[in-house]
Amino acid sequence: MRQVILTAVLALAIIGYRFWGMDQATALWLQYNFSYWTVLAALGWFMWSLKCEADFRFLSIRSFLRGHSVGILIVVACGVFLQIQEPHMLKVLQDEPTHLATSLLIHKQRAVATPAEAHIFDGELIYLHAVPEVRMFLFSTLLSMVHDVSGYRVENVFILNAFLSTLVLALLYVCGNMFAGRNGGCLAVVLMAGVPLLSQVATSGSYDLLNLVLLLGLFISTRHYLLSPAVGGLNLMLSVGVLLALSRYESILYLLIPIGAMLYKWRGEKAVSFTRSAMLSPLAVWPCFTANFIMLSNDGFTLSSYREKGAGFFGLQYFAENARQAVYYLFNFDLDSTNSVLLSTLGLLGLVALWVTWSVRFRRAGAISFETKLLTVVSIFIFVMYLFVLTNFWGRPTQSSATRFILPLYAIMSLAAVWLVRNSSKQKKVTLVSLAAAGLFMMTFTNSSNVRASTTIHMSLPISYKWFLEYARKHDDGRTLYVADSSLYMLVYGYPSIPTSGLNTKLSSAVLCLKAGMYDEILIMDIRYRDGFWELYKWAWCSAIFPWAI
Amino acid sequence: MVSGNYTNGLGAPLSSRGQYEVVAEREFAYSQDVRILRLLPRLPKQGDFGADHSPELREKFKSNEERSLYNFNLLP
Repeated sequence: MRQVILTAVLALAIIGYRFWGMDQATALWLQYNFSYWTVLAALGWFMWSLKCEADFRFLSIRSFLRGHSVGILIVVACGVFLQIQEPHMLKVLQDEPTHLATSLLIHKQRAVATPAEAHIFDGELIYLHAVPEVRMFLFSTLLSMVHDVSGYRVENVFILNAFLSTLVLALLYVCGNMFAGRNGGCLAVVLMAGVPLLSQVATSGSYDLLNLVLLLGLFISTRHYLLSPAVGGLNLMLSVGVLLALSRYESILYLLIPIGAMLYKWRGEKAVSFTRSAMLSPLAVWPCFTANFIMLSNDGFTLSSYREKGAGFFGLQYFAENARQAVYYLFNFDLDSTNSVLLSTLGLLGLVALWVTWSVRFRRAGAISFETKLLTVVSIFIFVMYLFVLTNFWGRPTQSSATRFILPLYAIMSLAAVWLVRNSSKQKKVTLVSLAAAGLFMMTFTNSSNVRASTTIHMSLPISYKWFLEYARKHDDGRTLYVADSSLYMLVYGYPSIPTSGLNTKLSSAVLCLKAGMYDEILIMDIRYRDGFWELYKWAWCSAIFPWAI
Repeated sequence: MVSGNYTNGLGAPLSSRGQYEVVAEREFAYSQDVRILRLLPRLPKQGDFGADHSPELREKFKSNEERSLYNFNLLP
């Protein structure tokens, strides 16, 4: 009990420091110098916990492979399917180039920050103007490790995400297998692989797949902890929770799941059991608080110029419109969209059935299986988290750079769909029919949607940047400075670049660079939208299917 | 040749102080055009800048690099 109290005091002290003691200079200093090492320690803790809990003996691996050969084959096949559907490119600007630029600085200096500009000086590319990284940087840290092994190159991010996307499918298989056996696992995988959004993200430089891997990992490790006696599985569950908190802004809230699991278990066992290493777990999440402080202290990071005057970063006024767009997105039949109507329908039915079952049988002992209880709690949590995301001014799922926030909801929907099928009267038959339907859906609608993705409105911006990059690759002789709104795009590909805003404020410096002979020319990428673009954009998303969504 | 001072969609408007020429242009569907512009220096060309000033400029860049990396120049 003493250990738990000490841990709680430590956690409260860190939270208190964030809200009442932190200042900008200290937050920047801590993040720049120490957060990489903290994330590294958290990764080490996770690896050690995994080694202690998992059974890596050769015989057990062999028997697992034998027992699940079909499932493994489907996971690998769907993993390959995700990779061959869309071009590999950076698709969300500014986020994805920022992950790469941060990983570059971590790789070079073991410091967490993002270089904002690059110049060629004496024939060498020098990175300038390091700005704090306000996105959580576990993904950038993992990426820097890939750079450490193979050397820096942009393509490393696609290799990492190819691995993570297959891991997402593998973990979904494991979760589906818990509820409905091997067929259920296969169904969860095929349903999820049928979401074109997953293919889009799997071939991008996004950090959302890592978040999804850790979310599913938390689900599995929480189950393992609850089924183990005393402290069995505690370190693994907490270390996965800590890594999840370090993977995305809002994911720190998922720590409530392991905390709730501990309280539930202690209540059941009528004893408090804790480990010494778990006592240090609050220390591992301090980078979340410094990043949060830096972000909310600077209007530039919360995109204040994109908001209406006086409107907050979060606000209930955004919810109604965002929620309408979310419903529209989930059930959009247009092949230009990245949703899966099949999964939305089955998943929503599954969630409703799951929650109704739970609420009806809640008080009857033994009426609900352990897995159902866990799925219910986690699904409610993920659903509420998504409602929270919808209160963000950038949370509209029909905005292509914000669509991927819906991935955790889709993942839990695929498990809810498996649960629904599992509880049908003719379970085996319904599972096989659903599996066949999901496969057919994947090969028809998903395939077509993916093929069309690069020609739709949603990808026009990254394709414009790619065109600028291709122009540079064709004509560059090392004597050109590139300017774009997202200068990091060119920077991560090794070209000297500054943002358009930087050119405007330092136009005379840019001219000076030309005069001093640093560059022969300065090229600027200029995107212009013709009159009526935004009206057309809105119309393209909100066509006649749901006229009320306009 | 084109002048700045127009907004380029979501990003920052180009400064009206600069003058630019179009070097490449591509039309996209959905009412979007992308152009690559070259900044035209209105001041004297390369060579007019005194050779004596060059080392200063180099030092300025070097010190700026160190300062910016360790002091965090926040984005506006």
